[in-house]
Amino acid sequence: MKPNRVGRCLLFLLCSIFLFSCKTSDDANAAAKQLATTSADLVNYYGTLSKIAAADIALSELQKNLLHVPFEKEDRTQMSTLSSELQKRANVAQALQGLSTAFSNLTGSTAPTDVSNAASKLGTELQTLNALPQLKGAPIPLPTLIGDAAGAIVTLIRNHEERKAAPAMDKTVSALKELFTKEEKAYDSLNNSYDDVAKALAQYCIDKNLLDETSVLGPALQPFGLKAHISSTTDTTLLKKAATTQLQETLNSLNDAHHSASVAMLQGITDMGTRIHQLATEGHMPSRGTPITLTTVENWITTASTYLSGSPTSTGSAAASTSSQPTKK
Amino acid sequence: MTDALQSLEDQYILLTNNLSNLEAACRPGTDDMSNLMTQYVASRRNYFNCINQMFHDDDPAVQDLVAQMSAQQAALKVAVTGIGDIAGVITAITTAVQVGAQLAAKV
Repeated sequence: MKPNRVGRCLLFLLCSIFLFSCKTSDDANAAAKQLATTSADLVNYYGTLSKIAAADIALSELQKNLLHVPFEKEDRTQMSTLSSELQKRANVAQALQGLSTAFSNLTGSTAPTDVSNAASKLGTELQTLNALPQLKGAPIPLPTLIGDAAGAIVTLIRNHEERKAAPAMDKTVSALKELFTKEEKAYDSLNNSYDDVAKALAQYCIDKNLLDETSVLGPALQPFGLKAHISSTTDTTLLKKAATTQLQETLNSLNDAHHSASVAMLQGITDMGTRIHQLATEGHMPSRGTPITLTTVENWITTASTYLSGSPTSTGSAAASTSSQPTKK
Repeated sequence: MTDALQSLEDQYILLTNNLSNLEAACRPGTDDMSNLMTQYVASRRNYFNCINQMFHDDDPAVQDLVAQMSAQQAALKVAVTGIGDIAGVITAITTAVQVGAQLAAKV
């Protein structure tokens, strides 16, 4: 081999951050970007659930004022604790998003520091995480498993062993999938109970003439720019019946939307786990584009944001709409 | 959904949906309203306690309690939706919520 060709090969190896083939580096970069997008939706998913838990406090205050249901400090603390635990999970997802983003941008001399800092942040967030479900008999506490995996990533990056980071991220995503799987039923229940309590209070408002029933006439009047009018002699019985029907139909729709979102979020995490596992074990990952199931998650987040104050808005819709088909060579 | 969590949710929501009617049926000058509110709050606390600390369904003791709650839920549904004797309804609610408390304590 001629000296200039040897020099070029050595230069290539020195410049290759991952010490992979060029194709494998592209796959690792793509995996990290996809994980960042999936994590972004997970941040918003948990953030929305946290808002729902906080909104339960507002509903309880309404019950106290309208129905004289006691709402003590103990009850408020119970709901606040739930909201905080869900926000911690959002913080974990955000740290994972930051790590994934920094990892995908691993180019240049300053990037390793960014990745190291992001990995450290993930480890810190995980240390503050209390398990939402206290799983009796579980052989390994899930947050510990996630923390150990993230700690491995931090160590590997600091020791410039990025090539081993994919297996460590494989473990992290697997642990995250297991956590979500264990808690998914609690997420569904939290959403459904919130919707049910809100509906009950809304029905009370209908029964006590506390709302404008003419809103149910919107679909008929709005296309023509017309407004409803109720006089003192108007019989609102049928309007109240229509409002009650609307409550039930909307309740069913809201519950179905969240269930679909939680299933889709878990599927998105599972898909990412499969891809990263493939990268970690086979050294390649042909899929491009984020899991398409994330669109369902984003739709639910967007809908929930219309009735939850300060809800996060979806930021991954563009990436989620991209096809997940492997790129052609 | 885990049976235990579902049981507690079902009880909490059943009482929530019928709370207004139950209140209206409470007799003035009695402890009906106070007792009703005590049980409703207990049901809510049981539910949120459970959702904060979920637990396995494969615990035999838990399964027994879930079966008890299931049986009482059916009777409770009849009682709260067809309010006759409010005192009897509150007694039924109290019994069901006590079982719910035992279930929520299995954490």
